[in-house]
Amino acid sequence: MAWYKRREGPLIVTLIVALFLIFEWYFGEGALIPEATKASGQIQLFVAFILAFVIGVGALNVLRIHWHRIQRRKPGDYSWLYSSWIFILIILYVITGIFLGAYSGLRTEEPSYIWMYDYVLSALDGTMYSILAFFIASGAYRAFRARTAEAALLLIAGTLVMLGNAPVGGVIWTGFLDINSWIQRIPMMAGIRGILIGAGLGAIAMGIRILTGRERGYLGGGE
Amino acid sequence: MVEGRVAQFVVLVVLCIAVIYFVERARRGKVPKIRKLPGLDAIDEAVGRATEMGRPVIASHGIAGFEDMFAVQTAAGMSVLGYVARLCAKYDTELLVPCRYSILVPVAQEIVQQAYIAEGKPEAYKPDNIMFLSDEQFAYSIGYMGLMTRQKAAANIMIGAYWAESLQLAETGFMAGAIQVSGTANTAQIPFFVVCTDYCLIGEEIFAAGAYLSKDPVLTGSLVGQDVGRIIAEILIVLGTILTTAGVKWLTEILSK
Repeated sequence: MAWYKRREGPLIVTLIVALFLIFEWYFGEGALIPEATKASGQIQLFVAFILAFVIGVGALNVLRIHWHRIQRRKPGDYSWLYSSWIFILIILYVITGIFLGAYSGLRTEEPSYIWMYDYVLSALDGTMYSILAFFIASGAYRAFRARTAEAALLLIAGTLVMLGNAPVGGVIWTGFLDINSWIQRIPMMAGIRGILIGAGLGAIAMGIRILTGRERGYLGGGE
Repeated sequence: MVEGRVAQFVVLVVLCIAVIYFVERARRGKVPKIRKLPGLDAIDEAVGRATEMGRPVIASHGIAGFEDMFAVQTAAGMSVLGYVARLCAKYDTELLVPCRYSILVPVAQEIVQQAYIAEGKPEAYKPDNIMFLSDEQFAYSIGYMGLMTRQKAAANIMIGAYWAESLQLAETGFMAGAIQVSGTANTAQIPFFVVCTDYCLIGEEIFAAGAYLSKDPVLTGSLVGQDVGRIIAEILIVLGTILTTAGVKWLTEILSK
């Protein structure tokens, strides 16, 4: 079957499901057809099932890619060791989660499974999040070089907001707190709302293009 | 109709009519002119640079999935991915696509494969280059950062919904020396992208990407439909401000119905 014909199926499914959910949003919840709410809940349950199923697809994708990397390892390139490590961890986590959990009857409450999550994954997650502070510092360094009028304005506004937020700012001059508050409530909020309204309208227009089958880029193949 | 959603529904219907009208108008030959979007024009430059340097291009569609309110940003990212994939196929440049959700892997694979087929190079398509990293936000982020550093990416294109990892990715791309094109409608992340990437699409610009890049006059017409919504919003804001200041509440009462 030609590729352009294969795209008709997903387009029809997208149209039917989207129209139904839009209908339910405006006319459901007992307003016109109470059954619509029930059916909408069922559709959203299907989504949960599909998402759960594709976790397996993701795991297979990871395993396949890293298996190929291990197979194609070259002398002097040790990146295959990372691929091996991923293999080991996936297998270990699956054994702990599925087999130990089932054997003990504790399922996801199995202590070693929880330990791995709390003391390995969460710790690494927290570490990654915290290094954002350093990235903010390096980003701010570049942003605050006043090479143009806009950059100079950004530097002044950024400095005032920082002084307003840092405890030392209020100690130096209490006016920094008011200036900070004003910048965040008036010009910043105006900018954010402008972007939000534009983005909302853009999202609706794109949704209409998708529903009418005009926008097909997300299905592949371009025009 | 559900209470509190009547005005919303009316605005949606008006927008739908406006978009469909301008699409049909464009189809009849009255194609509107839209302003240049330097961020999208820069994609060709970014891929060209990667080709000259013999280094890969990384294109990501954000970290949202296809099942929530951010899905439309993912769809916008996917549209750009299709365009980038065609350019990469055309110039024989390696394309790497990191995915946060496994459900998006087959979608991205399909898009990239179709792009290679469309360019007449199906044999150059490598399914392993579309990779699922992790559905954990920061595990995905570190995987992406590692990919950029190890592969020495010459171009990094990030269009879609991003959250706290946006700065990590943009800064790492900068350190890797990649030319970067970014875009998101998540307002909290826009400043990071503006500061750390070479070109940034702000808010609604990412939704125009598919229409802009395809150069399809009919799709371009739909962008003008958005302007009708913008005019309505502006009229309501001005009118609402004046009436509320004057103590008249009928407009806010109508809008809250």
